[in-house]
Amino acid sequence: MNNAKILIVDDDLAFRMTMRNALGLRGFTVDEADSGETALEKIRNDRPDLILLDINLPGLNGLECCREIRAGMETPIVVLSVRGEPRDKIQALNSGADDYLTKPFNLEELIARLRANLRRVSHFQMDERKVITLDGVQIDFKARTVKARDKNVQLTRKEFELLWYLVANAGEVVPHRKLLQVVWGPDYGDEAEYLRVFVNHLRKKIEPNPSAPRYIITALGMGYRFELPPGALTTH
Amino acid sequence: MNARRPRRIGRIVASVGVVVLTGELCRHIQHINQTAVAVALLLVLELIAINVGFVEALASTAAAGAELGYFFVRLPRRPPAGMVEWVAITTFVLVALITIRLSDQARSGWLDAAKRAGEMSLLYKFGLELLPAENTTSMIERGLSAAVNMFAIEGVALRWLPTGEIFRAGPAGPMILEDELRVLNTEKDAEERRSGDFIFVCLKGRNGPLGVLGLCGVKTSQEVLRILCHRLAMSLERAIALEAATEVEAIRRTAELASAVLDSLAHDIKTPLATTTLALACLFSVKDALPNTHTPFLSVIKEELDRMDHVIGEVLHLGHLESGLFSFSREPQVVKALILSTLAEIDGMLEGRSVEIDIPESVPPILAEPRLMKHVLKQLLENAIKYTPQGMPLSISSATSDGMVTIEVADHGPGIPEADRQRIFDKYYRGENSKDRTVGLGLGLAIAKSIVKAHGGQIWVSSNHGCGSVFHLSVPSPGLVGS
Repeated sequence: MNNAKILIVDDDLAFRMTMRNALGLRGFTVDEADSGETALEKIRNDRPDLILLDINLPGLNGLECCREIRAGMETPIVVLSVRGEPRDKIQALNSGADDYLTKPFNLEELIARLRANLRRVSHFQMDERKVITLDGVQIDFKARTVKARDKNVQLTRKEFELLWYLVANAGEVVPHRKLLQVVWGPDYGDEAEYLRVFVNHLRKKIEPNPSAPRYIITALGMGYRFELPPGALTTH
Repeated sequence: MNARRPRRIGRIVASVGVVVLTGELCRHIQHINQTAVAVALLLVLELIAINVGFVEALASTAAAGAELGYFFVRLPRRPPAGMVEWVAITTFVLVALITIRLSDQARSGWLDAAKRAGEMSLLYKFGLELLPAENTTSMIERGLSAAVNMFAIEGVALRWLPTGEIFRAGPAGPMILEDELRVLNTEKDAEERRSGDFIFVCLKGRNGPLGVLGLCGVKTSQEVLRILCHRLAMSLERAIALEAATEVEAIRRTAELASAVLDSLAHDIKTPLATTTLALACLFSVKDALPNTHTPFLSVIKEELDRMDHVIGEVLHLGHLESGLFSFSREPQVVKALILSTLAEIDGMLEGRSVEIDIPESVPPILAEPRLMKHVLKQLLENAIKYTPQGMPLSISSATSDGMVTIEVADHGPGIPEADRQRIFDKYYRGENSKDRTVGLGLGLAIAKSIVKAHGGQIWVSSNHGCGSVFHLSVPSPGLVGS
């Protein structure tokens, strides 16, 4: 995992150089881009394993860049930004980012997050085919497909993992911290806004009425609970 | 009035002359009967009533009756002889009176309609003059001079209540006494007062009185005057609203500019800070290769970088909170969960101090943005830890009071002197006790106050010198709204 190919997208030359050295010392292969346009080209041609993306970019900004990347691929995106307000994080997550770190950050924390996001083989892989059927929506966890009213719906890797963990613990309240640590990694726990954004995405994709959810229920100040109707889960 | 009398006498003479002349003409027509003469005279009388006036037509009717009776009907001198002739002449006079009365009424109606059309056209033009002006003052000046010029008013004066200024227009404007403009009670329903040639009207907007208008030499009808004052009041109220909106827009643009400057500042300061921190982290990872005498310098650089990051973070945070563009969404938060989660974050700072938590189950959730509210709690807890000796407990309690949820953080420190208590939430203020203990600029409690205020709550401190301090914060709860 340490020789993973990482693309740093930032307009500050000194920052890119230092990041290249810092990550290079840890065994990562590093490439750079100084604008959104260059980044998109490099992503198409070189297929990096992970993208470290600044928001404040000249031309195509980080959020637009995020949306462009997400339109075609699932490469993990970690946003590095000087803005630390919750709404900036929510905006980035809504645009398709997987993680968000505010500059200046701790190098060890960054490395831990890179590893968590690079984790490809997850403990969510399963041998049996598990399918749940909810009011016109069919979710196949092995094939990682969702069909809502006969239309295929795209779920990102994190959305799938989040949904599966909630389904696996159906009927119980899963605390925020636990969900974050299972889906994002052991170094996470306080990023409740990540869950709010991803749960919102999930509700829009599987709930008949996302503003009055029937399946993914909020346990106020504690976590989330999945309400699995009897007989909805089938194993093949 | 006196000048009008000779003119009217002239018109009466002329009208009577026309009637007499008509009679004379008829006398020279051979074989003309009495009925034809009566009809001709009636026609002439109707024309006089329509074109000249009722009084003139009345005098002409008398003349026509006399002429018809003497020359054509040949009335006997004494009734009852010739009763038929008397009846005929009386009928003629009665028909003539009814005709001229009806004709006069029609004439008055036409004149009235023409006058109204003229007044409406003037009021419309007056309305055009009151289209938005650059400010309220120029709107007042424009409105008053338009009133004087269009409605032939000799003079107007306005006491403008928002500023107390007096505006005047027209040659007789200065004759309107300031004291008179003060007499009208703007609060009462009576909106108009007359004093000789002067009229004083209270200009009322939808939100209350705007000013007192004094007018001198008004020739328009009462109704036109009422509409004129109403339009003036509405336009002035609109001008005030426009001025306020412009001010709000200016404040918003300033806030936007401040926010943009802060964003740019954050980028320009935090990026080099991030680079330096990163470079230092790389140096730390190879510190074993450095001479022992150099490694303490790395720690100094790290501490100073952390301090700089903390200070910059505080300034930017407060700047965003105060820019007015700061927005966040609030959701119900369980108080106990919020406090426990904050305590978990600062666990390392407690250093053996215990925390007593007293939060009854009955305390409802508060409406808050969790990260911001945790920032406030963290600030209060860090403060409490700083002033509580090791081994002594801190306490956190919560209750409901006056429709709000209150949270109290108490320490066992030296307490806060009265003078510091007044200013402890001010920006950059650092109390005597804290100067050697805090790292920041003295913005922590100012930020906490801004956050609590943005949540619709309050924050304050109570303290007995030598017996510790209690920081209180009250925040709205969705469960208590309206209770």
